[in-house]
Amino acid sequence: MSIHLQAITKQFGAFTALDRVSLDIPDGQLVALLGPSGSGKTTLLRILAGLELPDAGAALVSGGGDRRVGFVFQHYALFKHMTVFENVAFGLKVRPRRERLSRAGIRAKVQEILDTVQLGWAGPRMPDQLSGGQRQRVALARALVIEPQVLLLDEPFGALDTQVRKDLRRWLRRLHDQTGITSVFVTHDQEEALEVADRIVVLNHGRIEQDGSPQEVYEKPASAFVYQFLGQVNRVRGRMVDGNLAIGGASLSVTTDTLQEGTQAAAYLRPHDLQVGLTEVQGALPALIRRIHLAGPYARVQLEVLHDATELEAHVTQEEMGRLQLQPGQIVYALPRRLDVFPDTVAPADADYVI
Amino acid sequence: MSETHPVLARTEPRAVRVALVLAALAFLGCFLVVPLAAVFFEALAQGWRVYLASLREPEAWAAIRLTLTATLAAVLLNTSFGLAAAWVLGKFEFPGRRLLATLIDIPFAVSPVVAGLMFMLLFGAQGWLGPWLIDRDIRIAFALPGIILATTFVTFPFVARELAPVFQAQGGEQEEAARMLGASGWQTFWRVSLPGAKWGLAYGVILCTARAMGEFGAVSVVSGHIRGVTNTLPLHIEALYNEYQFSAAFACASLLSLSALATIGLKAWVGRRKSERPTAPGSAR
Repeated sequence: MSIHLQAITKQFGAFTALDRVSLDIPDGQLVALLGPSGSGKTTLLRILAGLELPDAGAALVSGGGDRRVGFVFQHYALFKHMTVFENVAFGLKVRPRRERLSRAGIRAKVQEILDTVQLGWAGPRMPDQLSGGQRQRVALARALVIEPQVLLLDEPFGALDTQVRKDLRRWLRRLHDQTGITSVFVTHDQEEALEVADRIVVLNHGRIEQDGSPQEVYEKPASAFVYQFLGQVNRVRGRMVDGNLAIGGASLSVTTDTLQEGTQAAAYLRPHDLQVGLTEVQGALPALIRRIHLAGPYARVQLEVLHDATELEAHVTQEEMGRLQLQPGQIVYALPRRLDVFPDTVAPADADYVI
Repeated sequence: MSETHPVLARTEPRAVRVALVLAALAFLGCFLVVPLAAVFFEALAQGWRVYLASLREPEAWAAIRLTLTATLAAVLLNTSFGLAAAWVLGKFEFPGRRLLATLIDIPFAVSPVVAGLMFMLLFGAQGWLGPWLIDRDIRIAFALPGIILATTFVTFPFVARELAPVFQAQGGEQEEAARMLGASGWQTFWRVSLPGAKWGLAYGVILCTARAMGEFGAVSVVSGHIRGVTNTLPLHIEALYNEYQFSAAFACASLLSLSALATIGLKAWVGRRKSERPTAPGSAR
């Protein structure tokens, strides 16, 4: 079953939650809607579910006869007065009599889906006797038992411990690989989106910033916002001079055809794309080593650019560290291997994502 | 004890604790236990035979039946009105919501006697609708409908006030979940919203019942005190007492007290069940 959204707009009072969002999701895809709070991602999901109506635009779901939608709520929304078994059976029991399974049929089907989520033993329990991760799996079982053609999940692992959420998101990926249900999940956790999804739709202020595979979104961010929101990033501000980005006395060579000569611009580069050297080379920024964190697979070197005291972080392999013998207080030359330049218009509030 | 339960660690000296507990018990004894015991003592002062005879007396029996009828009617009406009002207050945000919440509390603020007079002013022979009703031979004042109306008015807030916070605490998510699973509005109400609030509902119904059975002021005004016809149990007790028939009066009073004690027991049990459920936060009262 595929989903087509055309120019969806949704206002809550004066706040624009969604601003002409168009999106096509083909059958069988697992899509992440990624964005900060207030970006409109949950509203978009609720419109897909039919829980919210758009002010303008059209949401079309096409394919197979009856369009059943499974929805998993952020806080599970389990029926607290029912056992786990009754919770899962609910969607089967409320069907019109002629479509309803027999009592034994319902029992078998519920048990089967509880086994699938590894909670075969939990049928007689009440929801408040289960842990967060178990409740979330009950919520998934309850959504899956009605054999939905689309599965929608709102921050499915948001309220769980780090380890449990890691396990559950792998489990969700496996489940999707087995069932092939068209699935859309909302998250503000870029790691979760990158690990689980086939495709990531990045939302900000009610608009789509970028739409692509995890690799595309991570490696070719389409905007400064996406750069900042996905993964760690350094930002260096400067001005376009002779097609290069001038920062104080130094200049970074950039490739851009959109930025006018003389405009304010900012370069974005990942910490692992910053090469630290001891000798001055063309296009490298002189910087002071502030601090070195050695724990982990690579050393995190914190630098302060000499010209304007911009803070940068470089990831240096242990091998390189051994060769360079870096020490705090040393002056080094930081050479970007790869960077992207965007107009320097990022509002200070958004700049919070810069690490 | 204090090592294993640090939260309950007591700092007051033993003498102070004992004195406080004794003071509380003495107060309870003087104002609750002794008077209640006196009721049963007086009721049985002339033996079981007289006790049972005074309850079997036709006028007493009529009063018991009338009280039960009026209570049943008031509880049924207030359960349905209360459910509707609590649903609206707990599930929706609309202009005038606060006003409605305040209006529901009016019967608590108005003296029952005033409530009774209100109904007389409307339905009495000299009342606004009185002549019209008399023309059509519809009797409300000095009859069962008036008694039911007065009782219903006085006990109206109980169910609504108990249920509204429970409905509100449920939030909309469980209903949305039910809807996503294909349930209709009715199915959602009967299978999800109401069962989730059942202990709050039970609590409200019990309070409403207790109050309805004991109601005196409002019913006293609208009933007309016709013996064996419009005297409820509390009115009948007063009449007997005024006629110095103490044994009979206390026999009926003991019956009312017993029902009150049973209600309190039931209320305590339901209250415990209610607080076990995370869906039902403490009552608003």
